[in-house]
Amino acid sequence: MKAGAEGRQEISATGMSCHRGGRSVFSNISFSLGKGRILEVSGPNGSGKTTLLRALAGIHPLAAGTLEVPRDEIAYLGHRNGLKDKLTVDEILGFWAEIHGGRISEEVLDRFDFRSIRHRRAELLSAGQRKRVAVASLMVSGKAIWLLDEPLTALDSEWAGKVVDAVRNHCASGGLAVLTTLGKSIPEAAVSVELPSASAGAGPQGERN
Amino acid sequence: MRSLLLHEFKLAVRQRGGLALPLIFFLAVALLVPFGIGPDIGAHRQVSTGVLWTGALLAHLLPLQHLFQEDMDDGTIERLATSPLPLEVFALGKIVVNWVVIGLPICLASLPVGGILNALPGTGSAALLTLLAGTPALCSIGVFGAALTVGVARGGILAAVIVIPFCIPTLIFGASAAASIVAGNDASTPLAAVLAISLACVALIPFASAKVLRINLQ
Repeated sequence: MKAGAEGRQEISATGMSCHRGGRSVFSNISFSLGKGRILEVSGPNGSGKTTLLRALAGIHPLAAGTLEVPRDEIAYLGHRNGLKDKLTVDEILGFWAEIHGGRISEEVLDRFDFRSIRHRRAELLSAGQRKRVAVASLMVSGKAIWLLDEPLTALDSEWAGKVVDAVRNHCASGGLAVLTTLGKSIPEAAVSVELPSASAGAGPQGERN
Repeated sequence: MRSLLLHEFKLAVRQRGGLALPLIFFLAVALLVPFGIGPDIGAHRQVSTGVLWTGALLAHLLPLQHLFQEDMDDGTIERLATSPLPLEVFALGKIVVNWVVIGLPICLASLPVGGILNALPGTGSAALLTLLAGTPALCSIGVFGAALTVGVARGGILAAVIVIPFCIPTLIFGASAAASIVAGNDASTPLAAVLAISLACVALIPFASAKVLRINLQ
């Protein structure tokens, strides 16, 4: 699946700015991200992490700048994760896998320990279990570029570690991931963009490569 | 498409109660109007097809609030918009499922209800035939209204107000086709008009709905 898109798995942004509700959220963000790299977007609440991710996913329009993302290679998981209370874990994973043209792998079921809860409806799951199902529903997509909005919130350190491991694994096998976090959680992230708090104003952002 | 339809059917069936409401509403309208009119069989016969059609139209307005609201609130539409599945197909899926769980039961219910209304023989089957031709249009127009008002507080009422005028041509042609059939006249012209409206709506509304959903996402 990934082989077909070889060479196109790159995200590059130059001078990207976004507005929300008539107000500038962030401006002049530039970065480029190649195969096998992780971009961690961190910043305090309200600094524009979600807007940045939504812009990468193509949902939020850019106010200025350019952005190149291979749209047919992305799988996006927003802050609101689309879990349906009335469906079972299996049905949720199956739906998102089929929509993206992927499939449920044994590896995902094992990694997130879904064997015992796979026939349980989402309404009966704890907040942490729901988060794991949501993250897993992105991982079964079979897409090369993962866009994850705060995948580590609501998870204890053990499960947060497992999610980060899964992201590392994906990138080690040629994938690419962008995730937002409240603080720096992935020390080896290839690129990190730190958004200032909203009150600090939106100035040009530093980048590291 | 197959997995989307399966997914939508499961969700529609598992949120028990909500499904039966439009049908109960339709039955209530059809059965209460004769009481309101009084014991004049001639009057009953005159309004029967119009009552069935009006009841069916109003029943289609009930589920509009929930058609897209939950999908928008829980982020499903956001994820679908970034997935390989076009939102147009998602909107078409909504129309199909909406018709099967709401439109079709109302069509089928019109057959026995037509018999209860003191109506002329054949009223039930005429209503069934014309509603089968017209409910796809009512469902599609409803889906568009719901897509347009998703995210608006109490969007269901607004959607109903927006949708009603667009349903009037379907109502006029549908009810007149049913009345012609009952009277034994040739109903092919109004029936063809209803079918044309339905086909055009099912073909075009998925595109319009996907467009407004994308705008509402931003």
